[in-house]
Amino acid sequence: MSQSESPGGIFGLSYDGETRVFEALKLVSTAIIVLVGAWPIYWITQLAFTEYETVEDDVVTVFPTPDIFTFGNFTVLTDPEMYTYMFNTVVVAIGTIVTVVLVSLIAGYGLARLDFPQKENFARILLIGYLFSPIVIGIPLYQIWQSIGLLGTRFGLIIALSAISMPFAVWLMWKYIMTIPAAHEEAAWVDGASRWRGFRDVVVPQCRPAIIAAALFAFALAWNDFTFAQILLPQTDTTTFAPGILRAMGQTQFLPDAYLMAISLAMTLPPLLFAYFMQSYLLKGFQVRAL
Amino acid sequence: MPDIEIRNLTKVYEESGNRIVAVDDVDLTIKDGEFVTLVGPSGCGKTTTLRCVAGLNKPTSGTITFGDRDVTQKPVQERNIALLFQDIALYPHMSVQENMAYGLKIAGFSREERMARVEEAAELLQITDQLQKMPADLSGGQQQRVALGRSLVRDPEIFLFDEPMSDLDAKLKAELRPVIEKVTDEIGCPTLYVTHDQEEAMTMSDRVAVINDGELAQVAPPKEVYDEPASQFVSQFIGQPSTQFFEGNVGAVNGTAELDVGGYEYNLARDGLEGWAGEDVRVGLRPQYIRVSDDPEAGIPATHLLDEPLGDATHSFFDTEFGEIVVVTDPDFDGDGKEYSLVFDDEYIQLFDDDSGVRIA
Amino acid sequence: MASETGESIRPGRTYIPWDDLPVKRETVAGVGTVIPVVVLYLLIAVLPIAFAFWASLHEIHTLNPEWQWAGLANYREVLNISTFWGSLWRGIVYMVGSTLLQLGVGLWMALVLNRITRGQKLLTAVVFTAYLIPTIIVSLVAMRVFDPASGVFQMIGAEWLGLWGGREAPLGSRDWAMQLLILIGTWKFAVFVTIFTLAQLRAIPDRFYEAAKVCGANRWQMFRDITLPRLMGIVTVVVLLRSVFMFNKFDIIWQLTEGGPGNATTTLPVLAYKTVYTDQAYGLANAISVVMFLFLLASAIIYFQLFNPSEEVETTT
Repeated sequence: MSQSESPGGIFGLSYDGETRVFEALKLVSTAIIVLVGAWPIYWITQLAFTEYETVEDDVVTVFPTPDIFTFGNFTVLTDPEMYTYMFNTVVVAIGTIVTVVLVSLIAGYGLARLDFPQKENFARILLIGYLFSPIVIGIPLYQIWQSIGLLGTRFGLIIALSAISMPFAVWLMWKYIMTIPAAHEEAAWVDGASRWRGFRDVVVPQCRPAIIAAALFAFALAWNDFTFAQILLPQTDTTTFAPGILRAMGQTQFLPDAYLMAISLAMTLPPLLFAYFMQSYLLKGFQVRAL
Repeated sequence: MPDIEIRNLTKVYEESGNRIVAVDDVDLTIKDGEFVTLVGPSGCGKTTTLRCVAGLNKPTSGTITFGDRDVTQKPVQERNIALLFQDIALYPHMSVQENMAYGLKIAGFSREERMARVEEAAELLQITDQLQKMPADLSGGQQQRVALGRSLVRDPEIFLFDEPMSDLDAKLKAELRPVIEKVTDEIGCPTLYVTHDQEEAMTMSDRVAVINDGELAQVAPPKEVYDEPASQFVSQFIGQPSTQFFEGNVGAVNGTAELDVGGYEYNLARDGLEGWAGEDVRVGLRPQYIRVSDDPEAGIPATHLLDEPLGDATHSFFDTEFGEIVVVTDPDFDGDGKEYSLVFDDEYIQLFDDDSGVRIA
Repeated sequence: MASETGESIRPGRTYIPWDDLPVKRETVAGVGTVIPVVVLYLLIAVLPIAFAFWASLHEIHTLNPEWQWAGLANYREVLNISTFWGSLWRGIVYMVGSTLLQLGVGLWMALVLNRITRGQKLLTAVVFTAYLIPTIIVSLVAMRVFDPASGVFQMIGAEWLGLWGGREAPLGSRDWAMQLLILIGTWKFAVFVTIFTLAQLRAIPDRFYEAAKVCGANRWQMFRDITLPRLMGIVTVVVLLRSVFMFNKFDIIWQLTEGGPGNATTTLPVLAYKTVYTDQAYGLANAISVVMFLFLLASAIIYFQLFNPSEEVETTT
C-alpha cells in the first residue's frame, strides 16, 4: 500500500469492525432523530385527545387513557372564528402555490430556452430577493397596501408571499428545465406543435418534480407565514391561522391548551401527508442545485 | 413529392466576437425518393446543415426550397418534415402509442384515424406489441423503431436523420439499417441522413455527400466515392481501414508517368499528369492493394510491428520511413516482427496535390 | 401511406412581420416570460424598499399618517440609540448560533436518513414535516412544555437537571431565553439543511463509493474524499440562505418571547416591529429596515466574493 494513512478502517479497526461501529452509530442516530423529530407531533396528538380539564389541571399526561380520552377537543374546529382562520390559511396557501408555479414555470422556461439580453443579470438580481425579509418589506407594504386598498385582503397577502418565493422557485424551474433535452421540444415542433403547445405537452409534464418542489416550498412559506399575515391582515376576524390563534390566546376568550393542540394537529396533518407522499419528487426537484 | 434544393447555404456563429463558419456555401439537391447521406467527422457542419434544412437553425445566407416552395424563412412547424434525433427524443411521459400519434393529434386527426395509422405503422415496424409501453421500458433499438414510426405516420415531405444510430451497438445498427431503408422507401420522400459513420453512409445511400470543415468535399454514389475520391480527405475518410499515404515525386511524363516513392519507380498509365513532371505529390493507396514481400529489397523497407487477425483477413502494422502503415494481409499472416518490404499494386494508386489535397490522378 | 398532403399539419398563425421589426421575436417572447416576475419584484421588493427609504427620511407617527420631513435625523437616532447596537449584536449571536447548530444537525440528519434502510420514507416524512408545519404550532408546543405550571421540559430542567428554579419560566429568563430560541428554531429549521443536502447525497452515484472501496478506502476517507466535496457547493449556499433567513427571523421570536425578557431576545426585526407598533414611530422603523437591508446586502456581497456560491450552483449540477 502506498497510502500514507494506515491501511484498513478508522482507528486501525478492521473493515468489519468499522462496519459494526458505523451500524451502531447509525442506530443511535436514528433513535435520536425518531425521538426528537417525532416527539412534538406525538405530544400534540396525545394532548389533542385528552380531556381539556385534565390538561388544564397541570398534570403531565403521557397517553390519553380511556377515562380521559375524548374527541371533544376537535369541536373547536367548528368555532366560526377558528374556521375562518383555517379557511383563510388554506385559500392563501392555494393561491400562493398556483401563482408561484405558474409564474416560475413560465419565467424558468424563458430563462432556460429563450435568448434575450441581460438574462444573466436578471438571474443575479433574482437572487437578491433572498435578502428581502417579511419584516423589512411588510412595514412599508402596510402603508402601500393601505393606500391601494389591498390591506386586509387575501389577495394582497398572496402576491406578497408569491414574490418572496420567486428567487427560489424561478431558479429551480430554470435549472430543472435545462436538464430536459432540447430535442424533446424540437421533436414536438417537427410534429407541428407550436412553441406554446410544445411547452404545454412536452416540457410541463416532464417538470413534475420541479413543480412539486416549488409548490411544496410555496406551501411551506404560506402555511408557515406569520409576519406578513400579522402586518397585512391586521383585522383579527379576517386574518390567517398563525396570527389569529396568537391573538385569540391573548384575549380572554375560552381557549384551553387541549383545544389549541387539536387545531395544531389538524394543521399538521396536511404537511405530514405531503411530506410522506411527495418526498421523492421533492428530493428529485432539489437535486438540480436550486439556490 | 418535391425535390429538396439547398443553395449556397452558409451558417456563421458569432461567439464572443469570434466568427465561426459552421457551414460554408453548401449546394445540394436531393431528388424525390433519393437517400442522400451527409457524412463527415464531428464538428464538420453536417448537423448544422441538417438543422437548417429542418428549420431548427436559421441560415446566415442561402436558400432552401422544397419543390417550388421556398422554406428558408419558414419555422420548423410549417415545413412538414420528419426528423430522427441522435438521442431519439421520444416523449418520456407518453406511451409508445401516444408518442406516435402526437403529430397527428396536433394536425387535428380524429381518434380513429390516429389509431388506425399508428396501428399500420407499428405493424410495418414490428412493434405492435409495444404500443402500450412507456419509452423507458424499451431497448434502444425498439425506441429507434418507435421514433421511425412517429415519422412514418405523418407522411412528411422530407425525412431527416441526425446520427440516429450513434448510440447503438454494431449488431443493432446492422439490424436497424434495413428497417430505415424500408421506412424511407415506404414514405418515398427525399431523405437526408447525417452520420459520422462511413459504413452507414456506404451501405444505405443512393449518394454520399462528404463534408469537411463546412464545405462539401464530394457528392457521388457510394462506389464512386470509394473508388474515385475527389480529395485526400475523402479518400482517407471513406473506407476501413483507411487509405495509406506516402510522399512521392512525379518523374518524366510521356504517355505514362513515372512515379517515385521512397526510391522505387512505378509507371502509371494515367492522363492528367502533364505539367506535374518533377513535382512532389501525395500518394494514396488502400491497404488491400499493398503487398507484403519477404524480400526486404523488393519495395519500401518496413519493420513489422503487430498483427490484428480478424478471421477473414489480418490488418498488419508496419513501421516505414513514411510512418506507420497498415496493410491488409492474408488471414494466416504472421509477421513476427521481421523486416519486410511493401510493394504497390500500381493500378490503384491515387495521386493528390501535396498542398490542397485535391485529386490529380 | 397517408393520402393527405402537409397542408393540414400547418398551424394557423396571424402574420406579424417580425423581420421588419427592430427586435427579434425570441427576444420579445423571452422578456415576456419574465415580466410577471419583474412585476412581482417591483411591487413587493423595489417599491417597498424605495418607500421605506423615503419614509425613513420623515417623522411619521404610525396611526397618524402625517409626514414631516426629518432628513437623516432618523438615521442619526437609529445609530445613537443603544437598543439598535444591542439588537444588532443579539441578532448576530442569534444568526450565527442558529446557523451553525442547524448546519450541524441538518447535515447529520441527512447523512443518517440517507443510510438507514428500514422506515426511511416514514422517518424522512416526519423530519420534513417539521419544516412544513406552521411556526406557530412549534411555538405553541414550546410554550406548553416550558410552561412553569405544567411544562414537561420545564419540570425535567428544574427537577432532574437543576437548570432553573421550580416555578421559573425558562423562556422568561435572561439566562435561558436566547439559548432556547436557538434550540427550538433548530428543531424546525435544521430540516431545511437536511432537504438540500439529502437531495445532493441521493445524487451521488454508488460507483464512486465502489471505486473507493476497491482502492481500500475506509468510511471516513470515503466521506472526506467523495461525500464532502460533493456537498460543499450546496453547503455554502445553504449557509448563506440560513444566515439571511435567521437574521431576518421575526415570527418565532415574537411568538415565544416578544423580544423579552427586557430586550434579551430583541433582534433587529423585533426592534423594527416594536418601533412601529409599540413606539408608533413609523419613520424610525423604516430607517431600521433600510439599515438592516443594507447590512444584509453588504454581508451577502462579501460572502459571494469569498465563496461564490452562484458559480458553484451553475457549474456543478
